[in-house]
Amino acid sequence: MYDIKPLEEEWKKYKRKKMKPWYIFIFVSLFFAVLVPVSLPYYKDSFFRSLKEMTKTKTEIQAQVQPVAKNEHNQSVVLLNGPLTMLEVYPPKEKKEEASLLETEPEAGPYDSAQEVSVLEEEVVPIQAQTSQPAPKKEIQKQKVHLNIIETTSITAYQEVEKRFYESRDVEDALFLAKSYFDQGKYQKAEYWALQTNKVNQNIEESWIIFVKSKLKLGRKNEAIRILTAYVQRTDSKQGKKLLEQIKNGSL
Amino acid sequence: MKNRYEAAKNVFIDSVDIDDYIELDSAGAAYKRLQHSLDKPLKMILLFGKPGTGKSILLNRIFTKLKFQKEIYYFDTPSVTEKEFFHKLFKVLTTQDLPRNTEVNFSALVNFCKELRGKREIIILLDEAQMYGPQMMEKIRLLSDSRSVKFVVSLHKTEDEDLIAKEHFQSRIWEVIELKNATKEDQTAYIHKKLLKKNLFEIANSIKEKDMKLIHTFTKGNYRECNKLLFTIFEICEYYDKNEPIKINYGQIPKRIIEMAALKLGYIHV
Ligand SMILES: Nc1ncnc2c1ncn2[C@@H]1O[C@H](COP(=O)(O)OP(=O)(O)OP(=O)(O)O)[C@@H](O)[C@H]1O
Ligand SMILES: [Mg+2]
Repeated sequence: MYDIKPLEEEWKKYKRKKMKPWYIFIFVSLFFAVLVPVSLPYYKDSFFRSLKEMTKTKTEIQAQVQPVAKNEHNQSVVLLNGPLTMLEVYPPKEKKEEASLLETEPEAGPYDSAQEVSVLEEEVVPIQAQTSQPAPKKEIQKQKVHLNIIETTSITAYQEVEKRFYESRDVEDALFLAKSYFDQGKYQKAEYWALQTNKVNQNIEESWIIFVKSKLKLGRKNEAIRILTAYVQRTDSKQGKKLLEQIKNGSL
Repeated sequence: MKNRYEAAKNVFIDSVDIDDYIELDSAGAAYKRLQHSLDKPLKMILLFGKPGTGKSILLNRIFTKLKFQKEIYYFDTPSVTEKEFFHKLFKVLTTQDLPRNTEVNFSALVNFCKELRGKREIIILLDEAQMYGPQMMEKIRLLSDSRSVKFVVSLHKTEDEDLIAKEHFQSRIWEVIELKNATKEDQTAYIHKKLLKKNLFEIANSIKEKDMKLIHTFTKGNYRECNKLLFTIFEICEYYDKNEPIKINYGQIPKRIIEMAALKLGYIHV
């Protein structure tokens, strides 16, 4: 049976996370809607002082929002800035802004707005990468660069093994390449080297499994099923049968 | 309306079968260019594009269209060894099988091709050519210099290999046809036409403009990814339809389901 429950849970988590910036935004706007009209009279005597206060709180709030909103912070900052500047320059208008925002919110449905955010985000991210970046993202990038280095320096090593295989036809070499490329996510190459392995020795189960899994990763599900079925018929392999089940019921 | 989602799901199983070919603006343009190039006295044509952009299905299409007009062959899976490849080629050129343990003498083969010049015009469609090494490619090029055999080389390269491939091919006088991921419009047409072909009108209508936009964002317009996503979407619909029909809206695929499918396939993450 199709296992839907974990997926539903995952989606709920996803939605909650997507909605976070909105909740923060609504909360902050509400906060200001209440705080500003109350506090303004107290600062009437010195307009400039109040202005300074305002900008100070604004930056403070930005700083608070940043770590929570992560990737979305660009967006929430933009959204925050909008109504905030309004607040500063035209205090009376702010209520209208609030009201319309609160109105449109439920109308579009929390679900719909989550949608919009996700679409927007996809487009925003590359721009962000060029400008300021939040700390966690930088770390990921560093890691990636590091991984790349390891990969590129070892490419020659793999090529050596490839060359060696063409001369020696050593099945161990081919299997090694298939495994390594599969682990690296180079499924086309993994498929090729698993095939090479099978050509030399067609009884290595691991190689057949990699062959089939690579095909699956490359989106050739039908082909994968066809090949694996033939293999299972020929060898009666337990692991093969299990994999076949998994592929068929989509759990892989 | 039992099992309609199952039918919809099966529409999106990967296939390069020519019966599943869909006329699209981009694919049509590429097809015309390829056909035009085949009529020119060019030696080699490179069909280039990311995995899943429709190279194989295009080759299939050109093969089925031309097979009664021209001498055309389609090598769908790459030969594992050079020896195997030349055996295959020998068979095509001479219609004779070579004994198993003999090697093809390459220069003899080139001479043979030269003699065919003006007598036969052979087109060979080589799919998945990224599997052939540079030495093999060089030999293929030498064969095409004979002007009796014209190769259409379909190649997919990714990331770093991309550059090497392009450099290599740009230094030659080859015609390069690049297949790209679909635009939102083409992808929408693709999804609709695929469903309509199987008379699934209601389902086609239940995917709205906004959903198409979302699907395009997730799949970046790649046909294979699109197949995967839609397969998964309908798989989830099928489940709900059978087990929890309240969770599904037959008039419009809920966005929740599209996102669930995207989560399952890893386009988005929690
Ligand atoms: N014009 C089209 N009509 C119908 N289906 C298409 C079309 N273009 C692409 N597809 C679908 O997209 C999928 C991927 O296409 P195809 O296998 O031709 O890609 P490819 O470029 O050959 O990929 P690879 O480089 O991995 O071999 C196919 O299953 C096919 O169903
Ligand atoms: Mg292909």
